[in-house]
Amino acid sequence: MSLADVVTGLGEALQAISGLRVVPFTADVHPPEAVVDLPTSVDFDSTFARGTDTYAMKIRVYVSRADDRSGRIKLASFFPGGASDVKAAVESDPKLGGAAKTVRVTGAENVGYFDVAGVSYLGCDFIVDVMA
Amino acid sequence: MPDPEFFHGRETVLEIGDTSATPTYTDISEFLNDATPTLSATTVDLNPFGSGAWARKLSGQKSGSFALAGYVDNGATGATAKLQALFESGARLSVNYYPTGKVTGRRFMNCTGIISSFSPKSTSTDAVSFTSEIQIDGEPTWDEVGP
Repeated sequence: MSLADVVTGLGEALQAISGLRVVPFTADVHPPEAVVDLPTSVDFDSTFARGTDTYAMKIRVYVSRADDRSGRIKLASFFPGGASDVKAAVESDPKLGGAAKTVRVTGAENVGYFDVAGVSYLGCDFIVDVMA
Repeated sequence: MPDPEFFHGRETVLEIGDTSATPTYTDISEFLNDATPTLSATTVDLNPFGSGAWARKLSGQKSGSFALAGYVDNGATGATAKLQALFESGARLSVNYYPTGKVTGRRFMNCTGIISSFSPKSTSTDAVSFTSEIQIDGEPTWDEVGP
């Protein structure tokens, strides 16, 4: 199980969210979009014999802020209970199709505006603990 | 004096097997994050005349236990299933413990024992884990890993 497998596995899990474009790493943004980025930290040797490492992955979700109110409503839909629940989509298969031993979306942070290539988007980061 | 050579615990390997003449071992290292054998001996106080204020000691009986910790896995043949089955049956098991890795020339401990506890633990923020304890039956032996 490699980091590339984990990124791919998370991306495939997010494809279950209707209308969401999913890309690995940051490119030009076409909202609504989820970018599965490199881990913010990695804890090696969670078990003996190189059995498991634990990755803190970041999924950044962007939505358009062309209309601020509808942008906020759209972003809210990615939170638990919403129509595009990121936590439910990622945790629907805790093995990420064989890329992980278990996965948990631990929280969300950095809700706010992000500039990408000179364009401002509304977004937030979902933090995902992946044991792989 | 040669430079000391230390080893990281990540290299530890632990195998469990039956207690037949030619045991079949299963490596369960990938499920574990802690393996701690504790070997101890009782001592007997002696107070002979002329020993002054200091107690004298005689060595007594030795015994040991083996504490394991790791993550619960749902597989029918994984470490959880094997340890749980051994706990429930009370059957003896054989343990090979390679604290510095299963590498030719490194020392490992072999012992037999009985599992005296198997305790899963759930918290809402971490993977389901377990702790287990093996009571060592008889004398553990140390040997070198062969080529």
